[in-house]
Amino acid sequence: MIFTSPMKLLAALALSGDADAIATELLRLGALELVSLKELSGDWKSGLSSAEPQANAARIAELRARAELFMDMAQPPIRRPELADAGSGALSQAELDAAAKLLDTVAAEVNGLRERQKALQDDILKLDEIRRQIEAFDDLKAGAAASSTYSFLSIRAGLVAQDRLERLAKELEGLPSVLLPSDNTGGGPTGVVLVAMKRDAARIEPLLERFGWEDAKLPDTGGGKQEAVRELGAKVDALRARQADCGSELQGFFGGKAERLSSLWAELRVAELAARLRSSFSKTERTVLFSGWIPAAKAAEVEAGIRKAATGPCIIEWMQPRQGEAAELPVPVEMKNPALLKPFEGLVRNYAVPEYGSVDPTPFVALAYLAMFGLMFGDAGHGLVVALLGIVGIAQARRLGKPDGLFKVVAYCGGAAIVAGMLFGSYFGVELLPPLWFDYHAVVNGLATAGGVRSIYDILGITIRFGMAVLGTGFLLNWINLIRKRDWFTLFMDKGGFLGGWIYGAGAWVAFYFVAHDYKGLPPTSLLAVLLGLPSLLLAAKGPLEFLLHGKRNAKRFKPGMIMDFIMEWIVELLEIYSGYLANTLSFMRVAGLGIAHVSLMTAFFQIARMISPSGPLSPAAIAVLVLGNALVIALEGLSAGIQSLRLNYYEFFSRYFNGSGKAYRPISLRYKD
Amino acid sequence: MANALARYAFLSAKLKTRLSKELPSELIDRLIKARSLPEAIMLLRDTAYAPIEKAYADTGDLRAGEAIIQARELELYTELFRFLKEPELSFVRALSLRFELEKVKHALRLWFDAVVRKRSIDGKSGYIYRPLIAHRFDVDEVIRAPDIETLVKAFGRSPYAEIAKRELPAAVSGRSLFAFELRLDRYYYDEAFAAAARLDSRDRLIAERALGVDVDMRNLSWLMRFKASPEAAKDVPLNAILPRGKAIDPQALAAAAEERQGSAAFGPAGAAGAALTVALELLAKHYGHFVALLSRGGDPAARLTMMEGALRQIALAEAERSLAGFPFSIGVVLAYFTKRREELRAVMTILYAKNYSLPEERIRSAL
Repeated sequence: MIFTSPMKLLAALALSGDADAIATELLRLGALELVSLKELSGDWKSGLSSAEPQANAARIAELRARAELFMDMAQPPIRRPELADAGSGALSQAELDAAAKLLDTVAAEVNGLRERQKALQDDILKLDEIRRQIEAFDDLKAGAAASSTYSFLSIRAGLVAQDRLERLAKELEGLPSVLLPSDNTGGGPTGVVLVAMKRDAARIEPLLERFGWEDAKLPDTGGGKQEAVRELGAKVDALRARQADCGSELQGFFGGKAERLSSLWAELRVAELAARLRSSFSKTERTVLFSGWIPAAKAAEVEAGIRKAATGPCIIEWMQPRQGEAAELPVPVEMKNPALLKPFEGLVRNYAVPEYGSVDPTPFVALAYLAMFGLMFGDAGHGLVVALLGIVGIAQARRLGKPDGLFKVVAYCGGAAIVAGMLFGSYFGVELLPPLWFDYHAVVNGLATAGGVRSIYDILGITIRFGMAVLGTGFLLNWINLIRKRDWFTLFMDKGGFLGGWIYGAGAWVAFYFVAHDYKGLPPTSLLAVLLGLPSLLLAAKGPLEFLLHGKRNAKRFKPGMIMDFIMEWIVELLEIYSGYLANTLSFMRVAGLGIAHVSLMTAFFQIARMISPSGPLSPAAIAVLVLGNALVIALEGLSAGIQSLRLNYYEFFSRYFNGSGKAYRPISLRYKD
Repeated sequence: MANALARYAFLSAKLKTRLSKELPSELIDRLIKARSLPEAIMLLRDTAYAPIEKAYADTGDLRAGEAIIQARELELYTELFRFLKEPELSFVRALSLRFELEKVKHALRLWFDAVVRKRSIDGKSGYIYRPLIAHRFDVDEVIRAPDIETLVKAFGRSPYAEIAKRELPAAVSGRSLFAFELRLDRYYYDEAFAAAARLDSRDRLIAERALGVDVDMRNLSWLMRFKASPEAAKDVPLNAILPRGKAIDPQALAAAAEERQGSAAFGPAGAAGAALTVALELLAKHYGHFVALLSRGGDPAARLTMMEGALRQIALAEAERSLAGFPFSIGVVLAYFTKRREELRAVMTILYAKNYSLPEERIRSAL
């Protein structure tokens, strides 16, 4: 947990016939990060070739991607099944052909339904066009006479026997048209307005003749523009409903195919992962060779798995990182933390992956981040809201199958704020319970009269001490890293090593001494000379010593001009230490700044509420101000505190010790994400 | 410098952020390789082109999604109006005329088909953009106008009324909209260059360079269309070539013709072909680094497609140059529009190709 997991490099040789079984077993174990044998040093690799044809792997990947697309087309999307069982991991060409055929069938079905929707859409567009043209007429019946002047709309008025009207309407259904009968109470022929496209005249004319249509001038009742538009609207709606039915039909189709698609996806995914694994295998005529990184703790399990999967002889070799043929290989880094701390690994990785073998900063980041957040956002009520938001986010993310790490961090932050709120006695800005440490609101508002923390300066002092503790931890972790790397020179002489720590510690003590003496007195000069002068002078030896120790190795020769370089480097480093460390420490005052802002904002909202209701119980308007104020503070301050905590970790804490040159460990497994 | 910073800082950041959402080349590759249209469209689901997927799922009609995306593109221009002041505002307004011109051309083609060629245009006007762009006119009135007089009236007080009045009688008698569309293009570039001339010197140079490439593309496209038309054997009307192209303009073509055959015109025999050859030489001369690309290709049709592709690459290269250079200039705005336009064109080309089940190589050659 404190350091990154130790890794081992596996190099194995087995018979070609066992390649599939071994690949499947490795997939099931999910511990191997692939390494191409070509990356290993040594000149023995020239006779090797890849064990997996690229074309095969590409075809499997394409089929899997196609299956995924169709699964996503379903509403709701068909969920990807858990790949609990690796199966055989190999699909024959015939099986792949069958999979392609199934997917083609699905594609054809989808295409067919879309074509039907498209045909309906064409009809909708035509009806829309008629509607737009009808809207251009002031009077539809007058338009019957004028329709000849319009380019493609035909409007006719006439009489049809009442008993034939319904059948005429049915016959016209297939054509973009609208038939508007007048009210008929007399029992004779009914007056009708027919709006259609001119290009359909050749089909409409015989129909009208068959139904005994007689052109006529109609009276001014019925068959109006509004009615026509309404009629067209109804037709368009009916067509849209049929389009939607096509959509439902498609969903029904996917419902029927869900299980098959799901199992096909699983088969293809396993085959794809196995093919990817095999593609890193190299082969000779009768054997396969493969290699990869495995956490040392899992080495025995992996070795047993390989031996079990291999039916024939199998040679397994383990290599230590940065040694022998693995000397040039970058070692992947596994951060192994308890589930409780896992979400904070994301915060670390977001910055960089730590160097292999160094301290895993996750537990320290978790502690520092939550402490900073709590100090900046110290209110139990607000913390509860943040925690609940985090919990809801976690539930939502799990429901959607998305990562929930960020929401877990949010929930933790809420917890930290609750604890801090209890320490400061703040519950939605109200002191419901007495503070366990000090009353933040009273201190900020100048009302604190008792206790160790009475003024804003006291709060600033707390955060500076907190910053010094964080930076001190940073020094300590850096020293541990350097000792593990046996980098003694840096450990003793670097600004992040013992010398830098000496100056920082002594500088901090001198600063506190100065403050304790009312900003008037410094420690005796002789003491200052030992505390700060001596390490500063020793730092001057860094450049020359480095040249003596490493210069020869790099074939550098001494030149008189180098003396000036050494002096300049020393001055710059001194400036960096004194100004840099001072800035780093004072940077933590932002923790107090945001905490004070939090309290001040809440105080302001309470004052506004009291201005609305100067006495007695709060009015609804005043309560609304408080509710909105609290929401605003939670949103703004929550975001600010989260960002500032991250900033302090990344730039003040990490800069002391963190070497982010690592490469994340990504073993290939059934849960592997592309 | 401070002035440019104030004018473009926000805009530059906003547009560059939007550009970061452009489709990655792997996705374009997957689109090309998709086995069917529905599969290709599904790939767009989590991208800026998601409306195409939604519209297609609702209607089965590619054009429905394309219309939405086109409308959004136009909204991007109009949205930028808020962040710009004169003279940059006028310049971007002039650029947005391109959409209105497309609308006018579309409407006129439908009118021409219905009234002059007596063809059915049922349902074809459904996706025309109807809201106001720059000039107020009713596009449906234009389409259903029974004659030129009504059509001119339908254009109201817009500049298109005058253009229609002047050009349409000849277009109807000649049964070709070539001249009319040329006049519209000329109007657009006149407006754009006039607006560019009012920009400060740095912006003017960038804008004129980008517009010059645009004019070259348009001239080349026109020469290609002319070569494919029944009039190809006639003299190439040099007044159909738009001026101010970076490589191709009427003077440059005339000078080149004179150099080749001692006359400032392309004679009737193989006139369009000869003009295209000269245009190609001019392009090669101006865009030296694309010479290899322009001179490749076997059959003439493939070569022409390649030339168009090369010019699009030049426009994109100009855009990249603007993005990589000084960020506080009109170049960022132009680069954004160019890149968005080309991306949309590529996406729609692929989707329509998928609709017609065209093979992968054909699609790649059209991009």
